Amino acid sequence: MKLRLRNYESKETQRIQVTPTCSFLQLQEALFASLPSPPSSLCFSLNAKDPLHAPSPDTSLQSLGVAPGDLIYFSLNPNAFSAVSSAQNPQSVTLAPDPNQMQESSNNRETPVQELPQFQEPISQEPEFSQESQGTESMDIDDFALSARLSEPYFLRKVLGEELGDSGSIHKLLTIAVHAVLLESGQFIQVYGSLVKGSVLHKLSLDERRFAPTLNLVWANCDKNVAKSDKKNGSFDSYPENEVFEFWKIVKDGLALPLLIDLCYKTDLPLPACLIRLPTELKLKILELLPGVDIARMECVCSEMRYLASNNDLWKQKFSEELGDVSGTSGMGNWKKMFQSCWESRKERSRAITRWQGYPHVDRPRYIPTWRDPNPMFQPFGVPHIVGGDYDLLPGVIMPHPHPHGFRGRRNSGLHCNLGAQRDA
Amino acid sequence: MASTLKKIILKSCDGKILEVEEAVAVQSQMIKNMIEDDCANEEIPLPDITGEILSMIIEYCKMHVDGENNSNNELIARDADFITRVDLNTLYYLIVAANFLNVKSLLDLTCQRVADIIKGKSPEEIRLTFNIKNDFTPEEEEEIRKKNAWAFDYKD
Repeated sequence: MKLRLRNYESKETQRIQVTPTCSFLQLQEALFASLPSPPSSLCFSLNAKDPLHAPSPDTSLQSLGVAPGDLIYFSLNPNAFSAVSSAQNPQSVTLAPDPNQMQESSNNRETPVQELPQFQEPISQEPEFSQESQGTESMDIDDFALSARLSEPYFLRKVLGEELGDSGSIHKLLTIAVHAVLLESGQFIQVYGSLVKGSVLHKLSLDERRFAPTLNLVWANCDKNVAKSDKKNGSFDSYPENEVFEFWKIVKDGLALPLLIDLCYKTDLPLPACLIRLPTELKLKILELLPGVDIARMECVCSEMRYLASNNDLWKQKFSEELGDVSGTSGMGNWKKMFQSCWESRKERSRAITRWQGYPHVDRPRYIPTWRDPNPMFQPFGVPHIVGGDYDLLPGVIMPHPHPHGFRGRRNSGLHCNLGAQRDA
Repeated sequence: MASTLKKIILKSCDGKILEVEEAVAVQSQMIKNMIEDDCANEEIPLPDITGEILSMIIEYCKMHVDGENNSNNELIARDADFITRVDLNTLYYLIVAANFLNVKSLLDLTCQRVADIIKGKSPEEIRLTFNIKNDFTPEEEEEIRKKNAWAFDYKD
């Protein structure tokens, strides 16, 4: 296979051809031969941050996660790659947890194992993992709860906050361990979880290249100062929330939930509520079948539902179902906020009608004007957009209606006589 | 057709063996795929589905095959009758099994049923109905209630 070797200091790159079964030692020898004078020491790295360790010189490069075409950094300075990752926070690269803190790990309670199958591209433009240098100052959750965020990865912020806040919870240990796996390995990691030997082994595979930059962004946003300074540049306004959600879904369905269920069986504890046990996709399917108001109430049920029910795509769907056309608007924006403001203003109008008619309760026809041309100037943040209510009759007066009979039916419903009154209101 | 007389043998996780007509079994997209791939000649083990749930699903599929010529309204009424007889716990297993077997109409029906149960309830009522633990801190709960206050004002 062909490999590229780049000198970390001088940035010079050379290409070499090695056998597919090439060992770590052979790579070193090949490099020695190409250098003017044999160096006293040599170290390698795949991402210019973490050193590439070989358990023995005979270990094949493939088993270390090196694939054909990869870019490998090397340095004559033996400490070139170890300084970044281990100096400030020695825990972050420690995969094996402290035996005192995780006594049960000896019977395989939860064993993260890493494996590096294959990856296609070198990680040369990996974003910096800045968390090690950010110290342990506590974060202010409220500060960016105020910011216009879409679906909120509470689960991540909470755990990361705990880690930052030095609260000494066991989450700290686990997240650091998982994170260390992300840092240390190549681009795919596989996480295995099992309660005890003999029980079902749950396995999931995570694409680091896909998720690490996103998680890193969430993390960077955790730090108040970073968030503020970057918000000025507008660069941190939105991170790919769908990626966070995808990550959450994979870990939740692949590991957290099955392990919890196994644990309940083992300990004879009652299983989690049936609704909670459903896979994420089905929970979302159920939420999709609910009206917007009920989704908002579901959000207040528990933290998992809070996360699921704040999904921006879900609210976009609800907006188009209940309040009107969403085409012509860009996909971005906080759809829940838009839903809420349109919903409230619609209710305001129906209240006004109720007052004028003197009835205690009027069931307003839920009329979605699908036949109407969408207003190309539709501005989601401008509340005065008129949806529902008798205002919908007005465009029909101006524009010819494709189904005059249906329309006449509505005109005869007896509500039109309030038009004048409603305008006053 | 000769093929409709062919029987498919399904085995539930608790060892119950059920013979199902192919026309009924292919309501499940998963079994249909297996038949197309010629993998359904021996009994099909269903590791996560109990005999009780499996017979309910077969009952549902039969109802839909037999009712193919009935009017739409009649089918909807039968669906409603079928689903309202089911308690929450059974409903959960039906959803999981319908999802696994990929019986789309049953999955839609069961999920819609859950949504109907949720509809119009307050968060407290939802927790009580589904036995969901409130895992918010009092501060978190206050914050989230404030944020969604608009959804609670449904007096008029």
